Amino acid sequence: MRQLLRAAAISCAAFLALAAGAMGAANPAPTASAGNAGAGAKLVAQFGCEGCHGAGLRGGGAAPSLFGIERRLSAAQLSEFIAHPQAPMPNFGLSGAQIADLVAYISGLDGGASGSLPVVSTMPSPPTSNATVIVRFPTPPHSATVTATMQMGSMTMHTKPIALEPTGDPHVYKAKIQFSMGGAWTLHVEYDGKHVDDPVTVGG
Amino acid sequence: MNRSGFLAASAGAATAFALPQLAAPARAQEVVDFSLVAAPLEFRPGPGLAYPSLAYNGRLPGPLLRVTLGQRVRVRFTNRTPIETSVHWHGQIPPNDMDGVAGITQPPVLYGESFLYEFAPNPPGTRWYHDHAFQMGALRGLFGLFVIDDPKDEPADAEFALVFHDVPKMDSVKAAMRGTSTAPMFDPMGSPEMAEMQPGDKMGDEVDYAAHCIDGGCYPSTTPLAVKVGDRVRLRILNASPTQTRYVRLAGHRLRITHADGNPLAKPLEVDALRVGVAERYDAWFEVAAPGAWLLEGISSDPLAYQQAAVVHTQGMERAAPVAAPQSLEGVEYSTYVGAGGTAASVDESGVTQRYDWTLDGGAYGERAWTIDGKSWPNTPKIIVNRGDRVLVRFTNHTDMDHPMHLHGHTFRIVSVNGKALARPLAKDVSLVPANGGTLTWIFDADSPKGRWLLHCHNDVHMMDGMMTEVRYA
Repeated sequence: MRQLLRAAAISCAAFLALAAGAMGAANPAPTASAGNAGAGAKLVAQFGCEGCHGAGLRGGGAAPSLFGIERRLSAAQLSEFIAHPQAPMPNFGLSGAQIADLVAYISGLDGGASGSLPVVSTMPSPPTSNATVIVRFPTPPHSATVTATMQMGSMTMHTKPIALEPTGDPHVYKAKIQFSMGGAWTLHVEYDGKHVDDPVTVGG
Repeated sequence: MNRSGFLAASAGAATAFALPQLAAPARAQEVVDFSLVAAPLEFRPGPGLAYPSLAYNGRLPGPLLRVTLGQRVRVRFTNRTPIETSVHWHGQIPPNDMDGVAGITQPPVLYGESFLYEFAPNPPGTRWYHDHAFQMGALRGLFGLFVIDDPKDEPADAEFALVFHDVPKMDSVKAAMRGTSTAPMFDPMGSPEMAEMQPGDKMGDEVDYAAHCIDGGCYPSTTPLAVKVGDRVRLRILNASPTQTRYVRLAGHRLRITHADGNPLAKPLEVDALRVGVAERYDAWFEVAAPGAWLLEGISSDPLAYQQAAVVHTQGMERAAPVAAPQSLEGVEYSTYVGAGGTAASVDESGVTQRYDWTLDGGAYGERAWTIDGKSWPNTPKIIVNRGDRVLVRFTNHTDMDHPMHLHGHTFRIVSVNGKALARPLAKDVSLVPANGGTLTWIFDADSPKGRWLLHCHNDVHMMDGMMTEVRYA
C-alpha cells in the first residue's frame, strides 16, 4: 500500500459544504454585507483563481494581479465584477454571500482596507525628498507615528518619530516627511503598541 | 496521396483540432505518408508560461494524424532529441514489429536516426500515439492523437479532437519514481480518488504539475470551440496525463458517450461528466440548445485547475464571460464502466482457455517497486498464448489508487468490475482497476499478429517502476 503523508489541509467537511453551496446558485445582486476572508480563501482554492491570477493572486500573465485591488476598486465594484464578469473571467455562478467572502479575502491580500495590517503609501509615489506618508488602518488607531530609517553599512540614519494626523476618513492618517537623501528607506509605522515596516525608494 | 505537406503546414500554433468532414471516402489500400520529427521545444501554453519540453513537429501535442479505415499509413519518424525514443500506436493492432516499444519490438531510435512505421490503422476510432522507450519522452510531450474515421459512424455537425494534458515537474517525477515524492494530491472532491483523502494530502508516488492544458494551451489561451445553435457536436477526448485521472465537464450540458477508447458502446451513456483514466479516450456528444458561452473543463482541486479549460461558444457570444462549473464532483453524475455496461447476473466465460488471477500491489513509501502478482518487471508472470486462445485476466488491486492497465495489440472486453458482471462488456485497450481491494476482469482473444505485446499500468511512474508484463505468442 502507498503510505499517506497527510499535510494540514482544509477540513473535508468545510470543503464539501463550500462545494455544495457553490452549485446551482444564479447570480444574485451583490450584497453589502461583510464577507468572511477565511471562507473566501477556500473559494479561491476551490475555483482555481491562481490558475489565471498567478500564485498568491499576484498576477499570472493570463489575468491581472489582485494584490492591492481594494485600493483601485471599491467592494461594490469588485462584487459587481465577480457577479457579472467580463471574458475571459468565467462566471462561477456564486451566491451573494460567497462573493462577499471572496471580496473580503482578495481585499486583504496586502493587509489592505479590510485586512489586519495597515497599508502604507506615499504621495508622490515613489516619494521625493519632501513627501506625504499616508497610512490606512484596518481600525482607527488611538495614536500613530512614522519614522523613516536608512541603513548605510553598519550605520542607521533615522528621522525623529512624526505624529500621524487624522484625516476626514477615520481609517486614514497622514504626515509630511522629509528625507535627507535619496535611496532605500524604510517607513516604520508604530500604532497602539504594534508596528509595520514598508520599504520605499526615495528619488533624487 | 502524400499528406506530409499538409502536416508541415499545420505544425506550429497551439490550436484545438476542429475536424472537418472528409470530402470523399478514401480508397482502400491508399497509402498516406506522414513525417514525425521529435525535437526539443520550449513549450509556451500561455503568456508568461514556458517549459522545456519535447515535441513532434514543433508542436505539443503532436499533429493530429487522421485517416479513413482501410487506408495504410507510412510514418517516417526521426529523432532529434537527446533521449532514446520510439513511437507506439496506442489502441491499434499493427504487425508486432510496428508496435513501437523500444527494447521489445524494435531497437530504440537514437539522436539523428529514423524509423519507418508502416501498417493499416485498425480498429477505427479515437486512438493516439506516444513515445514508448522508457526514458520519459511521453512525460515531456511526445504524444498526439490518431483518428481513424469509420465510414459507418453517424455524422456530427461539428467535431473537435481534444487532448487534455499536463506539464509535470520533472524533479517530482524522479522523486515519485523513488517513492519519496511530497507532491500533493489534487483529485476533485467527490471523486473516488479522494474517498479517503483531502486536498493537499501527499503520496510517495505523486507527480507535481506546473501546468494543465488542453491542446497546447492554458485558459484563456486555449482555442475556443465555435458551435451553432442546433448543432450536434462530437468531442473526441484523450487524457494524456502521465499519472492523473481527469474528470471532464462542459458547464450547462450533459454529455452523451458513444465510444470508449475508440470502440462503440452497445448503448450510449448520458452523464454530467466524463471520468477519463490515464490514456483513455471517450467520444462524447452534446447538443447546442441556446446561444451562450460555456467552459469545457478538466475538473480537479489543483489551484491551477482553471488552466485546463476551453470556451465553447455560439456565434456572437465570443466575448461573453463563459459559464463555469465548480471544481468538484459533489452531486455530479460521472461516467463509470458499470454505468456504461449495465449489470448482468453472470459473466459469459464461454470459450475461455486460459485464466490469470493477479494482484496489483506496491508503492510503499520510499520504495520503487510496483508489482503484478508480487513481482516487478522483468520478473512478472507472463501470459503465453497460442493463436485462438481466449484469455481471462482478473486483477485485484491492493493499492489505494486505481491503475490504468493497458494491453498492446488487442482489444479486450471488460466483463466485470468489483464482482459485478457487465451486461454489455466494454471493448477497450486501457481500464482503471479500482483501488482498495477492487477487482476488474478482462477477456481477450489471442487473434493478433504473433509477437510480444506489453501489458502494463499506463501511469508512467508505475510502469517504469515495474508494473508491467507481456502477452507472448508461442
